[in-house]
Amino acid sequence: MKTRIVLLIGVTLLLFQAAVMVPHAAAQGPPILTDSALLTGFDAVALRTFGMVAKMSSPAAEMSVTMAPAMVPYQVVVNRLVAVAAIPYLSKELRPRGMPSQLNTGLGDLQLLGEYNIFQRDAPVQTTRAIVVGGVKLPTGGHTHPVVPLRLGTGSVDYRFGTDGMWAARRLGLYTDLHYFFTTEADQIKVGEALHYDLAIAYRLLPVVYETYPATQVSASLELNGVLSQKDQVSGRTVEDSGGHTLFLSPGITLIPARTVLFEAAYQIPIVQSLNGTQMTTDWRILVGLRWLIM
Amino acid sequence: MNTVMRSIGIVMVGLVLAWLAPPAWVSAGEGQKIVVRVDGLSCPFCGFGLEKRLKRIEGVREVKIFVDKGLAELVLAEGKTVTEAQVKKAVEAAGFTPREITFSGGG
Repeated sequence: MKTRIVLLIGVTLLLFQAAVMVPHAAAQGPPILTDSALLTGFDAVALRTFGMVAKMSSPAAEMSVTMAPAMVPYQVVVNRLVAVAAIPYLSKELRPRGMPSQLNTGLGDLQLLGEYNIFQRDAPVQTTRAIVVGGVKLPTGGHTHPVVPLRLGTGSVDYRFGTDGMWAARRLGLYTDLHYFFTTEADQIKVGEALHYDLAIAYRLLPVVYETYPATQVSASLELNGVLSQKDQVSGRTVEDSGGHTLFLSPGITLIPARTVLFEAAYQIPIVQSLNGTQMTTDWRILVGLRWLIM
Repeated sequence: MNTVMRSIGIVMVGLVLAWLAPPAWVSAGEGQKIVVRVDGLSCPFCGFGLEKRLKRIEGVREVKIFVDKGLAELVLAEGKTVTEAQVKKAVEAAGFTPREITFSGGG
C-alpha cells in the first residue's frame, strides 16, 4: 500500500513538473503561464527564470516542490524561428505523515523547443499571430532515486507538439495555446500522455496611454491553465489511480521597469481536480520570476 | 505603327527619368526626420527590438517610438543618407509591418 501511494505521488509530481516546465520562453511580457505566439521583442537572446513553489497533499503525505528553471530563447531566423533551451533546478521534499521527511535537489530534465511563426496580421497598434511548437525532453534529471516522488527526471525521452495563438490591441491581449505531450517508457514507467491547454487575458494597467517608449508598465493577467492526462503504465500495467483533469485559475501581475527587464508574479488556484482514483492534489502554486532581454 | 513607336518612346523616357531620379527619402541635413508607421506594435517588449534595429541603420542618430500612435521617428545625423528600403527592412527584421514613410526637413 505504501509503495502504491509513493508511486502515485511520484507520478503526480512528474505530471506537475511537465505542466510547469512549458517554457513560455520568449520574453514578450504577459501572460505568465500561457505560451505567447509573439516571437518578436528580443533581438537574439533572452533569459527567463522564476521560482515556483507548489504545495501538494494527500491523506498519506505532504509534498512541496520548488522549481527554478533557466530558459534561454534564441532567435534563429528573424521573426520566423526561435529555439528554446530550458532546464530546471528542483528541490523536492516529501513528508509522509508520521515519518521523517526526505529531500532531493538537483537539475531536472532538459527541454529543447522550436517555435515557428505561421501567421501574422498586423494593423495599427494591433497584431494577430500564431506559431507552431515542437520539442523534445531529454532525461538529464536524476531518475534513479529509490523514492519515486523525489526523482528529478522521468528518465524518458518525451516529445511535444502544439500551437499558440494571440491577439493584442493597445492595452488588451488574448492568448491561447494547445500542446500535446507524447511520452515514452523509461525505468518501466510510462507517464500518461497529456494535453495542455491555456487561455489568458492580459490588460495593461499603466500607463493608460503609452506615449513614448520606454515607459514603466504594469499589467494584470488572468489565466486558465488546464491539463488532461491519460493513465500511467508501470511494467505494462495501467495505474488506475492516475491521470485525470486539472484546471487552475491563475491571476498574475507583471512589471516592466526598464528597457530589458520584466518582473512577474502569479498565484495558481486549483478549480478543477478531477483525478482518477486516489491521488495527491495540489493545494496551491506561486510563481515569482524575471525575464531579461540580453541582446 | 506610329502609336507603338510613340509608346516605346514614352516608356524609354520614363525609364531614363526613373534612373536619374534620386532614391526615395534621401536626407542629408542635421536633424532631418523620417517617420514610419509601424503596424503590430502592441506588446510590452515590442519597442526593444524595433529601437535596436532602427538604430543600426547607418546615419540614424536617434530613434523615438510612439507606441500608442504606432509610429517610429528617426532623426538623422548630419550629412547622412537613409533610404525607404533601409527603414522598411529594419522594421520587418524587428517583426513588424512597415506602412507609410514620411520625410520632414530639419534644421
